[in-house]
Amino acid sequence: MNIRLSKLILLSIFLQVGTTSAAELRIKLTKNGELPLANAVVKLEPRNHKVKIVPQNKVIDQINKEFVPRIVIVIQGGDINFPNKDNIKHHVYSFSDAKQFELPLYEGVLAESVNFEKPGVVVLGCNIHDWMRGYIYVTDSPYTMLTNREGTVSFESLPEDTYKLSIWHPGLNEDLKNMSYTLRGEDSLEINRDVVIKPVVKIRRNQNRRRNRYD
Amino acid sequence: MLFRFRKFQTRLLSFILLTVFFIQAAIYFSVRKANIENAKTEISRSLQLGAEVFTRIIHERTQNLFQYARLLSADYAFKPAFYSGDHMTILSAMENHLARLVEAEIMLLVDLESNIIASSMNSSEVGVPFKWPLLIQKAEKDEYAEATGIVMIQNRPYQLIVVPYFAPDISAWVVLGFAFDQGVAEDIQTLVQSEISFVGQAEPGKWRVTAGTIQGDNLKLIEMIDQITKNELPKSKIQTISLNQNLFVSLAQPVDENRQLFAVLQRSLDESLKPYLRLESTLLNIFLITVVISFLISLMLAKKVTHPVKILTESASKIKLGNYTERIEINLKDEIGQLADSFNSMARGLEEKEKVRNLLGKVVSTEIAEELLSRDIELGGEEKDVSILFSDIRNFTSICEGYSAKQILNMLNIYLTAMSEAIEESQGLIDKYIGDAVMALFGAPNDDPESASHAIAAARLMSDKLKKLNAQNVFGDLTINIGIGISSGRVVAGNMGSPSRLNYTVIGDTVNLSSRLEGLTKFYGVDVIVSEITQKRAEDWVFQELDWVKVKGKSEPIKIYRPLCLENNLSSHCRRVVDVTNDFIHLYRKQCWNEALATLETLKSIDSSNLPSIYRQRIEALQLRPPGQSWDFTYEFDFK
Ligand SMILES: [Cu+2]
Repeated sequence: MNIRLSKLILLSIFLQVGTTSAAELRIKLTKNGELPLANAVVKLEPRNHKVKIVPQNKVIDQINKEFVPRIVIVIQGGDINFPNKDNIKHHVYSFSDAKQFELPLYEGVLAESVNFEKPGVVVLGCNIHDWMRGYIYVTDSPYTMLTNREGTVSFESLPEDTYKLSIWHPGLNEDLKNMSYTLRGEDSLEINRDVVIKPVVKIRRNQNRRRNRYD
Repeated sequence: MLFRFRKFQTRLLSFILLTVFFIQAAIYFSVRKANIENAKTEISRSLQLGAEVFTRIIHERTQNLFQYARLLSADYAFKPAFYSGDHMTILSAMENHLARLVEAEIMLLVDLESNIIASSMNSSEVGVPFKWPLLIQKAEKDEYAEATGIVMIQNRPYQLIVVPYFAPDISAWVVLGFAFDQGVAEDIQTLVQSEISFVGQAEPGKWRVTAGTIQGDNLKLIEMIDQITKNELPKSKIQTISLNQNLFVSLAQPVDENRQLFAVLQRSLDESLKPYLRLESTLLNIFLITVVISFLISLMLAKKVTHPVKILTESASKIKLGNYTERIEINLKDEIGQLADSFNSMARGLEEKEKVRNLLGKVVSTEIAEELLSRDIELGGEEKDVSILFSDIRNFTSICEGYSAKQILNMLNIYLTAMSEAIEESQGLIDKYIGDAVMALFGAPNDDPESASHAIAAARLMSDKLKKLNAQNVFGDLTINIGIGISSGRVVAGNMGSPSRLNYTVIGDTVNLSSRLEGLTKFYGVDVIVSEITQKRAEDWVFQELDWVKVKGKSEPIKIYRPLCLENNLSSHCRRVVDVTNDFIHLYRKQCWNEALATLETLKSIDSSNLPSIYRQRIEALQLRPPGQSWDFTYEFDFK
């Protein structure tokens, strides 16, 4: 669980304390009827009240030829830095609608961060390593969290309102955006939801080059 | 006959020839069959090898496409073009890639909704659904999201491969393909040294040959694939089919797992059999030579076998015609030689038998000879009632003096011929000649109840004939007189002697009695004397009683008679002789000597025999020594 994100949520809750009574929403996601779905993005959008957005900067490392973490939530307008912790170069790029950019072959910590203005999913690739895949979820709602290992996410001290719930995951086949929940006073709601996750398409990596070519 | 021998020869010949022919034909066909089987096995093996090579080539080609497509899908330079959304740019980039890749002929880019983004086959095809969505569905299920399959594009089979286009996640599908065209077929043909045809499914269940190295009649190929796909050929996918009047061993190899396309590898059976054809022609020559040789050998054999048989047959037919002197000369030690020997013995036997028959006819009457020959001759006899006639020339020994043996024999032959005739005319059988004596049977071997009469008739006839012969001076200045004795009774008649030398004759007292009676004729001065039994049986004859005699060796005295004439031919003279004789005997036995002597005087005047003088002497002797009351009237002879 991202510590920075928790702090952010805590901050927003703190800001609203005293103005209205607080409700609770707990969401538990399972994949394909069984295992908990971790690292899924859960976003709540309040219909009536506005929440002030405070952009936050994030860091996505490249460690051992992988993006770490693989899925990052960034609030609209935030910057992300891509420090390379490997001793080889990487070439990070994205052709996604939310943000198209490329960081041609580089080493070490870049001076420049990439700014993400447009909400949406940005798929990160590396031109050198086909299998390297990272996802940046650019959100316009401060009520956006990743599920933990148990597949759960808890929103506490939510102001009384109607919330639109969105769930996103790279393997999710369906569009889970149009679910609404109205929360009042001291409501404490728990939602269990099962989603279908596609198997991950394998990308060839570190193959044994000496294998029999006729196998 | 000749035709049948020819037939036998032909049969032998054809039997041997047929046997040789069938053995040869069996060899020829089994060799041929083995050759064909062998060729088929070899072809099958090489076709299977060819099929493996073919599969490997196609597999490798497909893998090459995959590898290239993977490179393309990761190609960074293509990504900006792809994301530009500019169709012409995308198409141009695609064509650029296709130009680099010799092994691929077509390339398509399909979006995640299975609509065509760009196609190298038709540049204007955009947003049109991809025709083979199943291929993409198959890829979606694959762990690497890759798939391959056979599709028909404008009746041409293509191997298509699908790989995901990563930018960096799956953004589209890259499709590459190559056609199984004439060029592929020809390449494979040079590689595997077999004919190859591609048979694809134009529509479900409808097959067509899309390319191939054999041109012409494709129906059998299609038929074969049809049967395989309908599981009518479950075991072997190798078949021998005829194309363009040639037999081809064919192997149908499915190209893809869905069996949309078959590669049929074929090799001409005739072509492979060419080395064997030489062997076959050699075999055929050997076959012909063997047939000719065996024909000649069997012809010789047949001749060798049939020649003696022919001789045998000819000789047999000669014997059938009566030529019993026919003999065969075959110097063989085998069965045929034995047969010839047996044949010769048989002919000899027949010849001898014929001789016997002729001789028998001379010795006995033909009738009796036939009778004897027709029966099974065996030793032993049967009891029969017969009359036996014995005749002898009186004083023959003294007559013979002064004559040569030849003259005597000549006379004897004339005499015996006449006597024999007389006996046979009277139904008698000459039993034997004993020098000048003749013994004849009446009532044997054929029964004759009137044997006594017949014997007496024979005796009469003999006397008459002899009188004639004497009158004709047949014996020169000699006059032959005979005496005949006849007696009747039971005798044993039959073949007597040893099995090799049989003699039909009779034995018994009667025979001896006849002989003895013959011996009495001279004493009584009569030509014929019969026994009492003969007299009683010959009822048609009139007899003169001669005496009551005791013959030596016989305990019982018998009456003896002289036959005078047949009763129905009775003359007064005869009547008177019989009456006077009876009167005399009556007086004689009553011992009225004087009256008897007076009667005797009367008899003397009518009877020329010795009877009157015999009784005169006897009465004179009896008058001196009367016989007494116990006189049995007999007169005992002590000769013979
Ligand atoms: Cu990299």
